[in-house]
Amino acid sequence: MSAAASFDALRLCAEISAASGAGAAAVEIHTFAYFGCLLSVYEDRPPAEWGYGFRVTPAGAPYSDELDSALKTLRAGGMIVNYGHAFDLSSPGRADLELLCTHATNRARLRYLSSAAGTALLMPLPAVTSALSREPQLQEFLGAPTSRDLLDEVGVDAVKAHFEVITRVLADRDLGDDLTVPASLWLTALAEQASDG
Amino acid sequence: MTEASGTLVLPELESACLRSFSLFTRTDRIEVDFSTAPVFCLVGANGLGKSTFLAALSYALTGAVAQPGRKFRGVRQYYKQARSYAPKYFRGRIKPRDEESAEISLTFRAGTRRYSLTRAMFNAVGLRELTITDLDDGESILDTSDLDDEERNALYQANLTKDIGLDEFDQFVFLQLFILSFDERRELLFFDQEQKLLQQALYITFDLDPARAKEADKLDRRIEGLESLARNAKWQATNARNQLEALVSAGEEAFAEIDEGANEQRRLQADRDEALEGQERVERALADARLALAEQTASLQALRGEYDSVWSDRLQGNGDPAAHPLILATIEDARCGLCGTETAEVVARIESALAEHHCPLCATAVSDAAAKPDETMARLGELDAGISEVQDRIVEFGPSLQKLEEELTSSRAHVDFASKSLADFEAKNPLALFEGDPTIGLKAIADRFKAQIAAFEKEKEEKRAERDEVRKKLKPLQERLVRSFKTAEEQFIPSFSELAREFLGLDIEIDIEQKNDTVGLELRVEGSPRRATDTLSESQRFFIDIALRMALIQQMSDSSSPGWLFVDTPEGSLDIAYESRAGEMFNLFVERGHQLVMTANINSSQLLQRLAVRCGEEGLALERMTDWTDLSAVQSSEEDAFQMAWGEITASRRSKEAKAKERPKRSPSKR
Repeated sequence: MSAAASFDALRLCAEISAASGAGAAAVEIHTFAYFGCLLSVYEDRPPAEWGYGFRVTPAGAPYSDELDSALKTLRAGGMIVNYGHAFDLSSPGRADLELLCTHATNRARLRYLSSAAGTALLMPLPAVTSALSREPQLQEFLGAPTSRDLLDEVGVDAVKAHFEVITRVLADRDLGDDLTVPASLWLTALAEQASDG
Repeated sequence: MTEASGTLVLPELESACLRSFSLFTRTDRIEVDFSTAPVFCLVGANGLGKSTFLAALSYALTGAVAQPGRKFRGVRQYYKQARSYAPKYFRGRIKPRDEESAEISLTFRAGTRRYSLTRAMFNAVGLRELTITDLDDGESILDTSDLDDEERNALYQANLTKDIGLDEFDQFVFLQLFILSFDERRELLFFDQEQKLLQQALYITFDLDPARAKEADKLDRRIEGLESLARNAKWQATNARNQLEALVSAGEEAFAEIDEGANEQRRLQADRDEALEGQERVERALADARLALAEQTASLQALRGEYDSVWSDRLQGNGDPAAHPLILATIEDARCGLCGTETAEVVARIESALAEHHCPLCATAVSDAAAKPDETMARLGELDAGISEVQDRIVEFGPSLQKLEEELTSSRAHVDFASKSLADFEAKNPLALFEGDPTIGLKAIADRFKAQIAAFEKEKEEKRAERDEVRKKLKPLQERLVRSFKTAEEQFIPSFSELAREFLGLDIEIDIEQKNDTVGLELRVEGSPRRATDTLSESQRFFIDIALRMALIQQMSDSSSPGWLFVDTPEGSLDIAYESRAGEMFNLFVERGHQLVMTANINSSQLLQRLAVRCGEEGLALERMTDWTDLSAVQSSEEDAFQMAWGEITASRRSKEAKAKERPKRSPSKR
């Protein structure tokens, strides 16, 4: 079992539930985890460092087998509970997440996940997932009859081309370690691209 | 008039028969009778096979055909080469279908014996038939019927060699191909620069002992071989000396700078070696660092694996129902989270089930969540600390690895530069390489060249000394030859002079001359030396050489067996006056009792006409080649002209008696 995927599931479950007030849908957890991974790529980390991979479903959404497995295990272990299609943390889950967040192992990914989920505070959650579906490789594989691995070399190059534009736009801004602004800016651009297209 | 005083019993042709000789298209069998007249002349147009006929006669006698352009290097070697050339010569003249059956039969007399032989045209070392008959009693002296062709040939060679009075059959081959023939090769005895042919002819003619001629030939070849080796050694010494001079010349400048050059070479070499050591040091450090990084990376992987494993363990087992939000909300609100019923009994029942570690919904026993130790989380904390520590170390490796890689790049560049500097210097200063190495230094190379030069010089001197020793052995033979010539010159010189004067109309004398390794003849025309070839026309040289052959044959032959001369289309480009004189010279040779077998073109040449006049029908047998083979298309178109020329020749022959009066009376010939 991937501890990284478990941590991401717990953290996103907490963050998205806080933002939505009605738990976190599995598709939202997969999408924001992918968004977090993209933000690590934005900082020039190789996708392999994320700890698990993603693929695109025929419906055009990012999906991770490890994340799905983690959700099931966490649920079976009582770390998360579900109400219908929405997940939320249980008390033990919340307690464990609190401890796991102190682990150095999770420190870097915590920043990416928080920045990704933070965008949901700035724009409606459906708008976030809709904009992300315009990400270059997701867009490319939309409607493909079979699932395809995301963030291969071509995918990374494509998304980096987007990020270079973001970096240039924000070149004069002192944003510290916060990735929420570039993340939001990118989503906005993707959303505008969708509306233009 | 001269008399024969020689000892060789030269043969006399009687008849020949060629069978299946494809070149002669009109008949499968050609028979020629040489006994009817002392001169036999085969007359025909160009390209009909006159030279081939003479070559076939020589082949029947010797099994050899002289190869044009082949240099004479001793009688034995020449015979061997001429024998192997024979089948090549006839292959183009005899059709493949006739190769097996083509043969030539010859009957000739040698002293008191008659030889009858048959030789296949493509078996130079065999005889199909051989009969030797004693002319005194008419009895056959040999039965060769049980012998094979090669044995028969060997027997023929042994008998003929002995009957002629030679030492070896090779010598007869030499005689036949070089003295008794003047063929299409136009090989000249007198005007050959080295006069090697002439020398051998002189030994056979004047020394009277064929064994000494053979010995002289052998010594002469040995001298030539040693001289060749000495020349070769001298050439090699000169070559080595030139190389040494070039080396020394280059070395003089190099010597001046050699110390400096060697120092520079050593400095560059040390620089290169130091650079290599530095590179190796950095490579080792980098390898160590990479190994350590690999160990840390493996350690990190192990820790992460364990972290995942411990986390997985923590999640195993059932969840705590008491922590479930539904249960919590039901207890807190005293209202069923499922159906909304508000009753304290529900809360009591749930709390009772939880207290008994049963699920409030399905009553299944569950583990005590409170009892679940926090050990796993503590372990995860430890592992995380470990991971963090290892990650820090890995991060620390980054700069040092980068630094080492930069150092390695720099070291390699330094090695490349130092190596190139050294290689460039060594290419420009090759001598500097040898400094300090006593085995391959400049001096050693020079010494080696000097030793080579000395060895070649020594070899040259040795070969020359050996040559001089052989010369000493040859000298008595040469002196004896000179003495023999002097003894015979009273006969020989007038014999030659008469023949030559008959042709050239000038007083011609010859004298023997001994120069270095060769005994030759010097020609004097009206008292002036005429060795130089530019003082006589080519045709004149041919006839002087024919005269020399005639005189040699006269000189070497026993009075009872005067011998023959084969002459192939001799007229050449003589003017009409010299043609007539050549005819007179030929007639003189015949008058001396010799046999002349010649070929001639059908034309208005005065040579043949004058010979016909002098010899008459009884002295000149004419054979027309048109009886043997067909004319070419061009020749056929001019057949009238041929007929006219033929008529003139035969008319000249018939009027011998009348024309003989035009010529001054000669002394009677020896026979």
